[in-house]
Amino acid sequence: MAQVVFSSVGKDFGRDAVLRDVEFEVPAGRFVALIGPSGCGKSTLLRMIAGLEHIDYGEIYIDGNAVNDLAPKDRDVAMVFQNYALYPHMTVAENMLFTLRMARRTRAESNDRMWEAARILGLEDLLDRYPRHLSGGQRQRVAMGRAIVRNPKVFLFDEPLSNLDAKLRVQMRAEIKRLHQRLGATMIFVTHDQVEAMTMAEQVIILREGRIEQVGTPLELYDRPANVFVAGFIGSPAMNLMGGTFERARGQLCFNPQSGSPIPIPPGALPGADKTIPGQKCLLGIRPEHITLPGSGPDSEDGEPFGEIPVDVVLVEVTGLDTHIVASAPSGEITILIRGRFDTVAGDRLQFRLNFSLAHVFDAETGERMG
Amino acid sequence: MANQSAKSASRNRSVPRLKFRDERIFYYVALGPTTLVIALVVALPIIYTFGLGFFIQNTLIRTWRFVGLSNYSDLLTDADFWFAFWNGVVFTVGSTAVATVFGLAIAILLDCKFRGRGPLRALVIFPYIVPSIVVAFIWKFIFSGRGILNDFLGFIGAQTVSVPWLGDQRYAMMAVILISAWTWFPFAAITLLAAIQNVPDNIYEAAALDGAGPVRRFFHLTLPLLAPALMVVVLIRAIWAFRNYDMIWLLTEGGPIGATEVLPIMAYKEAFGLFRMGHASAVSVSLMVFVTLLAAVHFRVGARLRKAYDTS
Repeated sequence: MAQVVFSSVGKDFGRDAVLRDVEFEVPAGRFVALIGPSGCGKSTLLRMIAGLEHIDYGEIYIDGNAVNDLAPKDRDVAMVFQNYALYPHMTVAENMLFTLRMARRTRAESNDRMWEAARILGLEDLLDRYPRHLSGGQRQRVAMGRAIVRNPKVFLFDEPLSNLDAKLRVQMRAEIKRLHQRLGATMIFVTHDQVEAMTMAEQVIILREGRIEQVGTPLELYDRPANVFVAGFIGSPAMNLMGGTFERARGQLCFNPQSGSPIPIPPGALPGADKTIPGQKCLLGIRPEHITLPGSGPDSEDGEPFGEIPVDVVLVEVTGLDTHIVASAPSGEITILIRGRFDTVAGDRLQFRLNFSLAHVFDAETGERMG
Repeated sequence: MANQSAKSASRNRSVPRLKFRDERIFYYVALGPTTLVIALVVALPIIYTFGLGFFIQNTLIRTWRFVGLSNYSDLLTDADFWFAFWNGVVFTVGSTAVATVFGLAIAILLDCKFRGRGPLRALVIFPYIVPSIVVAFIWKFIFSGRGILNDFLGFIGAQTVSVPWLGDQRYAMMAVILISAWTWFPFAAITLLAAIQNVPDNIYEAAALDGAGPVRRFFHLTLPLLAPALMVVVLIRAIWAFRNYDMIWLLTEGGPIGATEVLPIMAYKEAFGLFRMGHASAVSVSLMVFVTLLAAVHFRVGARLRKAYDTS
């Protein structure tokens, strides 16, 4: 168990900066997900912790010690690769014993540890098989076993689930999480799948183009995205964003979309709107599940936080559990998510009711959150 | 109308059969000439050589006398034959080992990232594409009594007397082995380089994290993972080396005093020096048996290794 600290770390590939002034701290024993679109530098970051990529500037500390100049083997970290990187000419047991042999542990101790790992991961029956005889999920488990036997300070996972089919992925997600609870080790997990990050991690770091966009618990990111990028990246279907300005007319605050008529906002419902200056271009963000249809959500009360807009249905997607309705409003397309079934077809005219108390306001220029 | 549809139905039915027969005819027509040529230039000489082995035949006086297996039994008791066989083994093992080890080293070097790697990769193939006759003349010049190797050794003070490396019974085989390894190592290097590049980088990274330094990565990962490619290189080289004729002939003609005489050279000398066609054929046939054995090992072991070391 160890703490991992990045202190203004950066890396360039040729002329392109891959990582710029990355700064964060992973407390000991925490399960952290690094997430971002492909090419954002998340794998590079992980490989820098492992010592597989050079650190151009800044410092990485593991357990309080700067590791910049340490070789991978001296950092006491274990990594699970996306393609597992098992040694193809060694059996499952030999794969797990390799690192202990390299560390010149005694045979008895090595075997004990190997059996322990095999028991945790349910690999006892596969020990004399070769990787080519294993299924994807089994290889995945061997790769984790190879990490466990070392009892490292930090576990690194580089998109370990992306080569598995959907069902197995859900299963391994739970297994990795259980493993973390059992070992209590520091784990850093790279993924491009927000569901993985949200469901598994205690803390999520969102990267874009080599910069950290936000660090927080999954629900913090969901409830209070720091900027438009995080708002759009976390959550599926993605948050609706409408461009416009906030105007105050005769004491009534209104959202004035780029096209379409102003929508009045109940007093006090949207604190972010009060921070804007009249005429400032903003983005109003509202998640699909925070838009309801009249009659299907909570009814209006005094000081109702709702605003209504008329829309035309464009597309209806039914998943069985819930219904997604894509509709066109004067201000652009809006997607909503309704729990359960709703009978509507393209071309229908509906009223959408926006719950402003759960909406977000962003500066259109900088993309930063307001309020 | 009904007639027409019946006609078209029967045509439809007969089309696949006709097509199939057409295809068969096409195969015979396409393969026929090649098969004929191969039969004439490969199969016929082999059969002729086989047959010749049972006769005593002299090309000059054109006599044929059937002697059964006595050409072969002569060989078994002929010290020169066994000496040539042994020379062939030494030459094969020596040149294969040198070429493979050197080729592996070059392959590992060429896998590293450094400036000028591209041109160097192209340049490595040079010894392989130079015609044997040119290689032979270059190295004869280098290894001759007054060649630059002796000059160099004299210059650094390693020796005081010039040695005609190819003309000295003690050194001729070693020199021939080195020269022939020099022409072959690019094949080994390029085959092994391809095999090295086939190993995913992640495996080496995983090993680095597992605590294996470069030396242990080489012995625990590179070498075992290259085993199938190494086996192919070694066996192909062994087969070619054992039946090598041109390079040895150009360098030493089997001399001095038979020091580098191998079976193909013995066969040549028997046939075109002593005109003992029966003897020469018997030597050739026994050579063919040895090479066929090597080839059988190659296919058996190769298939097994490829299966065992499947990296997918």
